[in-house]
Amino acid sequence: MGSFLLRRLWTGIPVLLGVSVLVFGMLHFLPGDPVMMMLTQPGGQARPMLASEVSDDLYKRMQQQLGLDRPLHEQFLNFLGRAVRGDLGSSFRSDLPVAQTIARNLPFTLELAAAALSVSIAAGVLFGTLAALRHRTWADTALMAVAVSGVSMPSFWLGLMLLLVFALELRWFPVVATQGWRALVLPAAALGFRAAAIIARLVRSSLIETLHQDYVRTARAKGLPGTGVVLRHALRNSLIPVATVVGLQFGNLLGGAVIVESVFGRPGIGQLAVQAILEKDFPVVQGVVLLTAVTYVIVNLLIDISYGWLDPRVRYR
Amino acid sequence: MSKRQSTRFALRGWAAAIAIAVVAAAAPPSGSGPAAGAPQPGGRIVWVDSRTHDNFDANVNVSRYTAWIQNQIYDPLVWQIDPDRFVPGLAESWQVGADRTTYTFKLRKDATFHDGMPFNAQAVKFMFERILDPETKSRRVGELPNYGGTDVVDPYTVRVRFTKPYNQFLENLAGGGLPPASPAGVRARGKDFARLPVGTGPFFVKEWRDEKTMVLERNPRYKWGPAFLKHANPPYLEEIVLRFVTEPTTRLLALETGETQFVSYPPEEEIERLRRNANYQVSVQVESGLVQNFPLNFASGPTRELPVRQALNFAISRKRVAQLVFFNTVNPARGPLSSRNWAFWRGVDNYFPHDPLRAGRILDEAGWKLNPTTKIREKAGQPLRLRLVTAAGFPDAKVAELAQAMWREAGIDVRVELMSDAAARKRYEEGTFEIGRLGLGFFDPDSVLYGSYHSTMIEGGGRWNRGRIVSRDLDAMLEAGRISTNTAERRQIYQRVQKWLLDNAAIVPVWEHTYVFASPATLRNVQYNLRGQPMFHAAWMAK
Repeated sequence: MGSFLLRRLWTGIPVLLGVSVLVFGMLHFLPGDPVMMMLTQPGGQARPMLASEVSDDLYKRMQQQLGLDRPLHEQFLNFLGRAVRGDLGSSFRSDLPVAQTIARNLPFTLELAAAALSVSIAAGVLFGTLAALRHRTWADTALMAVAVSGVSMPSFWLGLMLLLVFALELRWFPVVATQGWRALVLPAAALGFRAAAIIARLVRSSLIETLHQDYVRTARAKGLPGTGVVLRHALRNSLIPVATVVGLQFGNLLGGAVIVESVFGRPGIGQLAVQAILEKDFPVVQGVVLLTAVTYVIVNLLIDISYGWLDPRVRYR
Repeated sequence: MSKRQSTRFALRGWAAAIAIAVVAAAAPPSGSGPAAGAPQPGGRIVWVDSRTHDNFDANVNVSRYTAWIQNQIYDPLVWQIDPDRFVPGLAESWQVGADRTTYTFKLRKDATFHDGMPFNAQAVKFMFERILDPETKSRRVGELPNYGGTDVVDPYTVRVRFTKPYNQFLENLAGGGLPPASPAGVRARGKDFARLPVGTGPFFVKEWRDEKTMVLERNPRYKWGPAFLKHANPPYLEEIVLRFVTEPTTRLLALETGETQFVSYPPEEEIERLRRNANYQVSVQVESGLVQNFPLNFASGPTRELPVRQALNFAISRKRVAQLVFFNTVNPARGPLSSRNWAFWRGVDNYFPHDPLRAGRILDEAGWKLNPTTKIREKAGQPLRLRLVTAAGFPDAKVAELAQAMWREAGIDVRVELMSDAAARKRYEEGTFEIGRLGLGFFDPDSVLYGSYHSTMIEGGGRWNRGRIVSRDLDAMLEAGRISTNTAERRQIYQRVQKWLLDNAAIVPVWEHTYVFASPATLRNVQYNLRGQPMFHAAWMAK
């Protein structure tokens, strides 16, 4: 197990390195000069600098302060060197440490993603199991129809509908609050609904297949109660493909959080990343992408570990 | 527009349409208007703003939208209530040197910062030096050109020197970028000062509840409010909770459920309904700068020809743009400067009404004949094809596509190229377009017109002469306007500039940008300054 973990972590390093190179390259080769954007940003309520007033000296000084005067490879190595030590640099825009900015936003996204994942696993497994047990009945058809609509429904639209019904009409939940469990319910439902639908469909098909296995028939023939057969034998064995999908869904939830955070006005790294990309705030974009990549690697590792718990036949080598 | 973008817009449109229909159905019926009465102290409001802000250091940050909030936290040395009329702020009086290189301010002796530290001459000197210190990375450096130094004459008298005459100094002091910040606060809070600024304004930053929720609390020591706001003392409101929500429908829902008492930019399509409902009030403030327009490239392509530029102007209906894209929450633009600007020239009304037939005649006379098969005009076998380069997203994409359809009716084939803001700016710098997009939110016509039309300001960095206009006459007028200190003379100069721009059809003016706010009728006396920014100094909530 230990060597398996080490090996998996080791293989994560090239992934992170590759992601860093890609993001660094993309940001630097896209049009837009962050120094000029900072110095001459139009839209101020008073007069910003005109380019003729941006002296070479000031431009170079600003470039130097931001570290943008160095060769690209040096900038990249500096970024990597600092990132390894946990220092992601300072935001070009606010001058605040990126790690601090991310740390302030991350809990909200994790909270939202975790809540959405919990909702989606609970609802997905429950409704998938019900549909499998009521295979080819109206209940199965109805549940799968809801699942199909869940897969095809954009979270943006669903979020607004939930707000209209449960916040405006019924007044059960707030529209723009960010504190307390009531503020989390609608965003988590909006974000988790699609994942719940995917999990439900997968649980259903996997469970239907498992229920036809010999060992399930044997268990039933031995006179074991139906619920026990389903929960202890069939369902557990059906969950391995589901676990893989849950891992992938967690990544999707982190990505989808951008939309839901926007609809509900919640803080989070999705919103932070979008704003940073628009303003060419390199350090923040790099920090957020690196963090997201690390999260993917860790979640996938946890999923791999969970296989062994779900199916004792799986051995870590 | 790509298929993917179309789908996203369509989905968003459907969602918004359904959302709005339900909101409309659930809206409370119109009631009676706000009852008159004396201000009632106390109470708290939630202000849901349309952007996310994280830097309220007014001496560093440049954003007209963040300024809405900064105005509650800081006070300027002088306030501007007319183009050439300044009234005391933190400075009780001031003297301007004959050559406009020295400005001497007598400061108030009773003002203090939110941290209890006294406001004095040292604080003013500290502010200017901090802005110019490269370590500060201030984007306000441009507001102190040719700075020569600040002399502390006595604890409450300060003299600011420039090495060259500086006409716009008082205006920039009033503009929101040069309000004094507490030196002790700056030193104590370090980088956190951006989120927790310490000014002298009617409200202070109490806390950030999370990254999207900031709380402002009443400054109990405040007694230096400007006379024109008619309330010098601590504000009536106890607290302003700021929430940053980018989705307009969500902001509207928060207003409808009573969760918020002040909303920036509710959805355009809902403004009329809110206006008709006496339970709500809507304030539309026209921005005073350069109107939202399409600059036309003088240096390449068919837009080098005056008839083509004139035809583009005659063929577009600004009224339809205002109706279909903005639901009449903006004014159709008539000339380069906004009608709110003090140098606005009424003569712009004589130019370019919507007249597609005239557009066609002008093009015919210029040799651009309609090809009956393609319905596109041609000259010497070359079709009249233009590239419109603009940023994707609302409203630029919608306006561009609507204009494209109207130009097409006149036989002009405009290819709309939507891209990121940065990519569009690069194209403007390269000059690889015939029609661009521009609009600026500054107050003084010099800031707007010099940077956009002087021949030394060809696009790049902070230069916005996107049309690559090179004209000695125009340059001379812009230079004269920059040097003159006489407002009446400057007004005449800038009116001549506007005439030149329209005579040469240098741009296609489209609409005037507006700031839109909505609130329940129970929120009283929110005032707006000369720049259309909200001021909560004397606002109060009726119970």
